[in-house]
Amino acid sequence: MACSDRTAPPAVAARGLCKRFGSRIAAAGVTLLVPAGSFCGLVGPNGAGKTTTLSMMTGLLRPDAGTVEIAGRDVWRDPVGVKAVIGVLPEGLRLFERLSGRELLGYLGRLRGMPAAEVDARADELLAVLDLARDARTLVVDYSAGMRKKIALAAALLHNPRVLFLDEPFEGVDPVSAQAIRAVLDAYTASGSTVIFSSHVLELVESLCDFVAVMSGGQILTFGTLAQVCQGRPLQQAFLSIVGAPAQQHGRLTWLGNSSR
Amino acid sequence: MAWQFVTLKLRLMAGALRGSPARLAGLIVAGVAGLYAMPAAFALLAALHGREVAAGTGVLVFTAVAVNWALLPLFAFGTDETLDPARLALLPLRRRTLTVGLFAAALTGIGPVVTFVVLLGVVAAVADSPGSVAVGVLAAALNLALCVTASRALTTGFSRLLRSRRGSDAGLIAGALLVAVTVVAGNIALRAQAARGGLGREVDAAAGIARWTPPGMLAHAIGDAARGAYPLAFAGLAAGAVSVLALLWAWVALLGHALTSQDGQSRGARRRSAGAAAPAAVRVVPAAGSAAAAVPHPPAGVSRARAVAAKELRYTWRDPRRRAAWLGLATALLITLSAAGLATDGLARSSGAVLAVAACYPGVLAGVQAANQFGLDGGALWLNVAATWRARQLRADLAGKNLACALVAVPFFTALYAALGLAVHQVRYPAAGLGLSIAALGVSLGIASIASVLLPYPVPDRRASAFGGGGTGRGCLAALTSAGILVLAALLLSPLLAALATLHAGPWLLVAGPSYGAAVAWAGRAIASGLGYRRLPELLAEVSRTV
Repeated sequence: MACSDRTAPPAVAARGLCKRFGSRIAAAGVTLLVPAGSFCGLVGPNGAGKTTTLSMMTGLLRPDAGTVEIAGRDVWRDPVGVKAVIGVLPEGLRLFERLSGRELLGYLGRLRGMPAAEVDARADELLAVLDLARDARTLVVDYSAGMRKKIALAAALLHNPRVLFLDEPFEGVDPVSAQAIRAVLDAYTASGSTVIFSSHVLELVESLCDFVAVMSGGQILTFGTLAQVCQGRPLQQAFLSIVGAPAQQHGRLTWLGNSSR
Repeated sequence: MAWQFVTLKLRLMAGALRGSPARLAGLIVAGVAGLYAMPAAFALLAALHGREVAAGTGVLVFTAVAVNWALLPLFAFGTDETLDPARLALLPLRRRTLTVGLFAAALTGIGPVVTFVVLLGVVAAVADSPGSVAVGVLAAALNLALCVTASRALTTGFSRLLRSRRGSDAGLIAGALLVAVTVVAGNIALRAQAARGGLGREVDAAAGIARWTPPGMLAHAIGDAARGAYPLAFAGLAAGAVSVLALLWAWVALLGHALTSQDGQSRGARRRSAGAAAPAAVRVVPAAGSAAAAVPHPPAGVSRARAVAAKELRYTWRDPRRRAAWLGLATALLITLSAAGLATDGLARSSGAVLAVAACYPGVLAGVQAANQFGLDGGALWLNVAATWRARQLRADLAGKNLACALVAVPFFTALYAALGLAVHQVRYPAAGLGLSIAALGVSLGIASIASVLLPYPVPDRRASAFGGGGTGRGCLAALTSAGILVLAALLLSPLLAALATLHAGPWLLVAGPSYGAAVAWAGRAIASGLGYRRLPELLAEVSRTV
């Protein structure tokens, strides 16, 4: 895959994405232009609209308004073309539970129209790198949370996508598995591919990403390089000041704890 | 590519059987039953060859099979969701590839094979030349395709309605009514035509109507070919093929929508009433508690049962799977009562037997859908398990669930029989019917409580279909459970039916029926809580499994 230069179209161009669930507005005009070859972190409090935004960008959830282009292709007008060049680790991880890890990768590759031999070779390699080789024949339904994340990442990488979307890839993952995932992501981005991932773990975002988008209330509050967003502060501090932390509440929960028993 | 979908489905089926003796047993029982039933059905139909009724019967069998395929998943068992299309959302599949693939996967399974053999029986009965056999096989294949696409399109469409915002509930009810009205209209038309043709001509009369439906046209094509009228035969085949294509298109369009939109209502509801959705075991929901507030200290069991009932009622409204179950039940009842002709002359001169069957049916059906009480709780059951340290508490939970079921079913039955009473201008039979149906409800709830703790299974909550069965092998077991409950309910209802045979049907059943039903339901809960309390952890593990 060719490294993209900065004159190429943005890897991901979302413009004015809106989504409303009943009376709740999950995305209120999200605009985000992610340069090709960047590792972009999407951070925000719970309910900020991160998952909704990622779902709309990856063709999993139809936006009420707005457009998304991946490498110049419109997600909703050319879903087949877009899905061929993106890899997604979605929230909720809906997998075929009753296949073994290796069978799962095998089918996903074949359904993508890849040559069988190529699929099997890549699957074995991914399973080995992600330390899943021993459980290649175990059904996915019997996998632990970390193993599920890893097999889903393998599924997202199998077709060598140009842009990778990860929704909370490190949530519920033990340090050993996290290290395996990180190593794979490092190798992937070193080749100049684009990654967009959402996370609550700001230290992780700080150490992995070169771009950061801060979301709250269905909108992008800040977007820029890590240095631009942090302005010399740790990301944690910058994040809290951008989003606005709630004031401390004194005199509440007095019934809680030993003293009132 | 279609082949990939077929092998994927087969792998998933094999995976589902891995390490699950119960599922394997269910599949084997179903397989053996199928092995006996298939040749028998084929031979029975083939034996009609050369008889006068062969053509008419053929049309009726084709139509009945298609109608059953289309409607049965809405009432019971659900469709085979082994291959959940939501899992394919990330793949770059063209609409055509996806359509063909999902269609091929839907055709893979025991049901389609059995259906095809039965349809071939019709071919054997009607066709009598090589040409007509060829047309027949083609017609049978097209009818099978029609069955599969119709069932998928209908369940996907109804699921969309079930999952949509409140406004569409009117559409949902309209849909159910439409189905019922169609059946009633067909029934009336059939009577009219049978009356003209004299008695004994029912088959031809019914076939005369059914032949204009797509499956009927397919079956009729075989007869046309046998008579040498090939242009007519091909026209029939073409009509069937067009119907299949239209249904396929509708199915995939509905599916495409279902997979890229989200369930608006449940999200809203979750947000609006986060408090009310809290574990029922530890919190009395205010709506049910307001009346209770007047009573100072109800016994622990009562308040717990009331909390569970309130939670169940909320779920009945908010959970598409439960709404699907009730919708199916309501439609089934409307259809049976009307198709039995009870709404018109049947009831006025009905004997005890007709009354008994007609009235027990709704109650038992309502009870059968409670045969997997804990499966619908799924993993959330741990909230109750964590707050259970005595068998009596489990009994209270079951009482709450039974109460919620009765609170939905009894008003519905009452309305149904009141309407019936108005239609036939009398009180006696409708009142007796109501009493009997409540007795049947109680009896089947009692059995269902025991089945719930002995044979629990997880119920998948899938985006595309609210009608998904429990997965491979599970469907067979669920069907066997339902059949077992039906038989047991009939046995337990026999004392009441014996009394009905000696005494006259009448309003006394309004007292005796509910009392008897409540007693059996109470006994069922007592047994079930004793059995279930000991195996609560296993129960939780079973219903929490991901399907």
